[in-house]
Amino acid sequence: MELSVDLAPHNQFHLYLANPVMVASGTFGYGTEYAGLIDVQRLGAIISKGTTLKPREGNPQPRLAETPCGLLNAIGLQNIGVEALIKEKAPIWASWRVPVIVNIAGDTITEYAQLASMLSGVAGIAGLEINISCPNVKAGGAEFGSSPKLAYQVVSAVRKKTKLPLLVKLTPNTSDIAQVAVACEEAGADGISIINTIKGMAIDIKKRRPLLGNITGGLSGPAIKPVALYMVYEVAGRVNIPVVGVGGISSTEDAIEFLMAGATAVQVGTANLSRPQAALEILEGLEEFMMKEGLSDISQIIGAAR
Amino acid sequence: MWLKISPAFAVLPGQFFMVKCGENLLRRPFSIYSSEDDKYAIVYRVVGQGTAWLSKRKEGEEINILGPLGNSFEIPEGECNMLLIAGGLGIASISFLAEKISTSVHRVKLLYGAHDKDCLLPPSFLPDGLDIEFVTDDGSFGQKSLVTDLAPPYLGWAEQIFACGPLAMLRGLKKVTAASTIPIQVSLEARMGCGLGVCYGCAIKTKDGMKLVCHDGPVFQLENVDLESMAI
Ligand SMILES: Cc1cc2nc3c(=O)[nH]c(=O)nc-3n(C[C@H](O)[C@H](O)[C@H](O)COP(=O)(O)OP(=O)(O)OC[C@H]3O[C@@H](n4cnc5c(N)ncnc54)[C@H](O)[C@@H]3O)c2cc1C
Ligand SMILES: Cc1cc2nc3c(=O)[nH]c(=O)nc-3n(C[C@H](O)[C@H](O)[C@H](O)COP(=O)(O)O)c2cc1C
Ligand code: FES
Repeated sequence: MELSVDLAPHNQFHLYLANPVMVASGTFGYGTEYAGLIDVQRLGAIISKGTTLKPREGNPQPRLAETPCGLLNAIGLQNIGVEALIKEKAPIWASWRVPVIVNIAGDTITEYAQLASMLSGVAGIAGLEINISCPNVKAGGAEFGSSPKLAYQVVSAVRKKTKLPLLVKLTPNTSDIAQVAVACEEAGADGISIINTIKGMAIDIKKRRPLLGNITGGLSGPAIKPVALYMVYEVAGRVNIPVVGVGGISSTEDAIEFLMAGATAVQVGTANLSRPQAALEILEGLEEFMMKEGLSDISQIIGAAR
Repeated sequence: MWLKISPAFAVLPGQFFMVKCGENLLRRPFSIYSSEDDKYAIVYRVVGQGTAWLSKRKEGEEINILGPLGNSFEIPEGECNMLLIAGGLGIASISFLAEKISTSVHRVKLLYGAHDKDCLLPPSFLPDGLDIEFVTDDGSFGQKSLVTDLAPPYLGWAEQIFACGPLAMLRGLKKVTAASTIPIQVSLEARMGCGLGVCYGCAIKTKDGMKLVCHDGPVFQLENVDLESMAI
């Protein structure tokens, strides 16, 4: 059974995954945390926590609020910074079979470019995912992803600094996500990840104030799945590069829906938090589904509902 | 609530379980309150959907837990006077700690406060032979007082303090012990997404930088923690 996919078919280096089930940025740490618990090597790829030039402390507590079928988070990109990542994490990844993709976020276009050049050529890093979609940080974040022009500028600045396969992660908080995706493709992106969290909030009615320390947060989990699915469907019809589906995927059936909508691969996010083995179970379910349906190649599913 | 888990594994006071509570998206953290062979206990109060679901489980039903997680209280090796302070459900980890402290080597005093009589675990649920002083906010059992207000007379005696309770209690403890140099280990609470160090939901500020309550804690030295940066 052929499960492998290429997330960067137009890039000289390509980004081959053994299977299309990845884990989403911010929900799987640096991959090392769960390594003792599950066989992370069987994943299609691991996307690391969003990484910035300097270490970041993140947002004030509380940072999490559960909502019906969803999770609001306002972590605020707490991370160890790119230098520590290169020194402490990349050497571990270099010994792994599973590709690790580093999610990067900058306050300015120059910072994105700097991050890309620092991460280029580092052993253990298979590609970059440009995060222009974080709803929880003031500068940068989703601002770059809500305008085709700014998105184009970020992606082309990064493209100039690296030959690494580049995914661009987009925000649903924009009037026309497909237009932003097309701009990213023109700027040299190898693939598009859709979607990051949807901006939202919750209020503690006893304390009469917003529940999150940051006031607003990003909504993830099953609650956002239909929105993400629609956006994947929409964008996959407009670009000629692979689309990666993210948003509320917690079962095999969810993953298959995204693949059928036109996603070349999927990322499992919030589901990892309560079920560290969620992505692997989805992978096993996918193999079973293909067997039952008499399918021999994952490409027979991709875009099947279009 | 007692959980039978085989094969049995070792658990330490301060450690916690992440419990899947029905259809709720996130697991809920609960301190380990006691253990015996392959049986492990938690105590909880119904405050929302997850704990309401737990309260409806019947004997013999299976539930899904992750753990034991986190670090644990460190019991000094040599002979030592230990002051234990518990507020509300903080009694869970403190009671388990008391269970593990050998009273033949150490001298132990427990100060235990809660909002009212109904929120207190009765003495029969606490380790035998423990010297306990009870207080309630409303005076319905024991003295009417804050548990931290009971601490000052013991500050000359205690060589190690262990505490677990609501944030307000820990802030009060920091105040009343400001002039003392007794080491204080506290078990902290934070909203948790994963319990395993991947989501950064439970991060707090400490003197040694940002730390994760689930992974670096839940037990910290009180003097290292920036309590003002915490909120639930
Ligand atoms: C390390 C640790 C140990 C704990 N030990 C105990 C214990 O022994 N006994 C006990 O009764 N309670 C304990 N708690 C608190 C317990 O986790 C919450 O009461 C429980 O999560 C509430 O869930 P709910 O669905 O009923 O409430 P809801 O208010 O509906 O929960 C909504 C969300 O907020 C979170 N949340 C709400 N209150 C708290 C809280 N105080 N701390 C952390 N997260 C919270 C929930 O986990 C959930 O994600 C502990 C918390 C931590 C962090
Ligand atoms: C706790 C948490 C932290 C996240 N951190 C990041 C991040 O650092 N970078 C990023 O691009 N997306 C981040 N995300 C977004 C996820 O990668 C994903 O796009 C989103 O949660 C939707 O997928 P899901 O519903 O499967 O979780 C985070 C999400 C959560 C819940
Ligand atoms: S709860 Fe996820 S990092 Fe602590």
